[in-house]
Amino acid sequence: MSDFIVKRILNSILVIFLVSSSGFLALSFLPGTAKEAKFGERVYYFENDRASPFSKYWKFIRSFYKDGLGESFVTGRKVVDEIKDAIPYSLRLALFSVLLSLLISLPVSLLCVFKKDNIIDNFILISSVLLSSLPVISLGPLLVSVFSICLGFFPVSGSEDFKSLILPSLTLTFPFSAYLVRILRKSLKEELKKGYIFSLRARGISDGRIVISHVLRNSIFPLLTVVNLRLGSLITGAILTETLFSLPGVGRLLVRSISGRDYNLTFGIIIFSSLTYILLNLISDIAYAILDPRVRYGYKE
Amino acid sequence: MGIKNKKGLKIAGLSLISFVILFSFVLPFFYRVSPLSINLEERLSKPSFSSPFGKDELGRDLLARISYGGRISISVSLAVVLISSIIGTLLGTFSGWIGGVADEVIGRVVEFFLAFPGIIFVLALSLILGQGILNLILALSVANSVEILRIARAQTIKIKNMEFIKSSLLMGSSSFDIIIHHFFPHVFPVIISHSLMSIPNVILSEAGLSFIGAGIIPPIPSWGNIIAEGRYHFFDAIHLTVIPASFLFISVLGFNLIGESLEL
Repeated sequence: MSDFIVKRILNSILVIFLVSSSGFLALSFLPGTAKEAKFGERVYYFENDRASPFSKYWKFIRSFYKDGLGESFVTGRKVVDEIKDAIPYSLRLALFSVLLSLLISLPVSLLCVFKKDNIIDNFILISSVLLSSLPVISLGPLLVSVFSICLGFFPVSGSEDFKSLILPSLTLTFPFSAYLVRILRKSLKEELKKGYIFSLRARGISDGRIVISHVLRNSIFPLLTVVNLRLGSLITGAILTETLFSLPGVGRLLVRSISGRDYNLTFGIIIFSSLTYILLNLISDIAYAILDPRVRYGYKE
Repeated sequence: MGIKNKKGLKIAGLSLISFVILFSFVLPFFYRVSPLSINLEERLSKPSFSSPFGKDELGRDLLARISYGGRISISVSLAVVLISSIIGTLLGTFSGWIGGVADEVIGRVVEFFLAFPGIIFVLALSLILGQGILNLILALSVANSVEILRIARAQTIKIKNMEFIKSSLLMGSSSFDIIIHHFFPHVFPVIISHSLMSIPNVILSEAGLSFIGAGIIPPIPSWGNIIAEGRYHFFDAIHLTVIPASFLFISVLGFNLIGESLEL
């Protein structure tokens, strides 16, 4: 067990190193480099001098060690601060929409499995295919046109209050909960076919108890992976949704930094998002090993 | 289990896709209006008989633009899926079949690619390569081939360890023979169905990139950048976003319906 955790942590560190190095490499080849944008006494990593790549890389590592991710070329603020300011917006959106998706998809997929009614099942399946094919950039404008422009319930954009969070979250929630329903329905049905369900039924245990304390516990794992990935990608920026609704989150910061050729900031966000991603994966792998005995014993074999 | 009538899903999906393809590739022969000609006097005009979808902020015909944009989006996506399936299949089967160090190296590279959330990876790549349709295709292909590589590799390892491969090895068939006659027929169908199912994702990535201005650059229309331009006119011309958004939805839905009907 601890072997597994140590190995996973070392592996993650290696990947982080690779990501940061190749991010530096890639950005140092970009056109329109920092030298053209240089002013004042600011420190830049991506200077367009004729030094050899190795000495540049050494310089990059040294300055990274000395003053972190540096400053944004455009605003002059520390990259870390810029990202720190943006995180709450993305985090709020991510948590709210994922929670909402879980709240919708759990009962719906249980209904799907419980009611052995083909009409309900088919209806849910078809509408989940429909909903999960709704692209963010299609659903967002449609929601805005109905709820903001025709009905006037919510603001079109902005980030002031809770009300302005609703449309962006719904934009993310509809397709995702439909996707969750599809996954959960499938894994519930597969679980219900297994032998132990038959023996539980034979012992006279009610359907409700079987589903809640046996089936759900076993079939929740594929859901955890998906939710975890989703959280990762939303925390690091729901790029399209944030752009569409003008939410000042990490995704919009990334788009802004790219269009403004603010490479320090871009690099910082890439590092931040890969770190978040790797960390979340690490946590979920370890959680798996702790929660699911099958994974734990499978590893020892 | 599930919908008994898989055929209905397939027919619905196919008809949606053929509608979109006819709309993008055949319509220009009959509706001869340039998607690029600017007419500021008619800017933001509502749908009418002469221009069924209305005109955008520069007075360009929306119907022609969506049709042209559809041509770009669909061709880009098909090219991406084709290229990425070739790369993914070759590398995946190679790494699965050979195993050992090569497999380890390819596995690490894949892990590295997966350390980024999807769209950020494509965004970074298209930023590095510079804008332009060919670079966009390249960036999307690399991103898409990672997934196909993983599937091809897993399928290869699964088939490689099956009894019939071992027994034909024992019977003295050459590796070439085994690969052509026994191996490919089992690996290809899986890869092809996964490549087909990745089409909607590629369409979405392309549209998303163009939406934020990192994909296809404005004078050339694509569904993503048409929506992006339209959203500045939510209040005075909502049709400029709703119509292209619906086309994007219809094409993704069509491919997803087919994907659903293929699923066992």
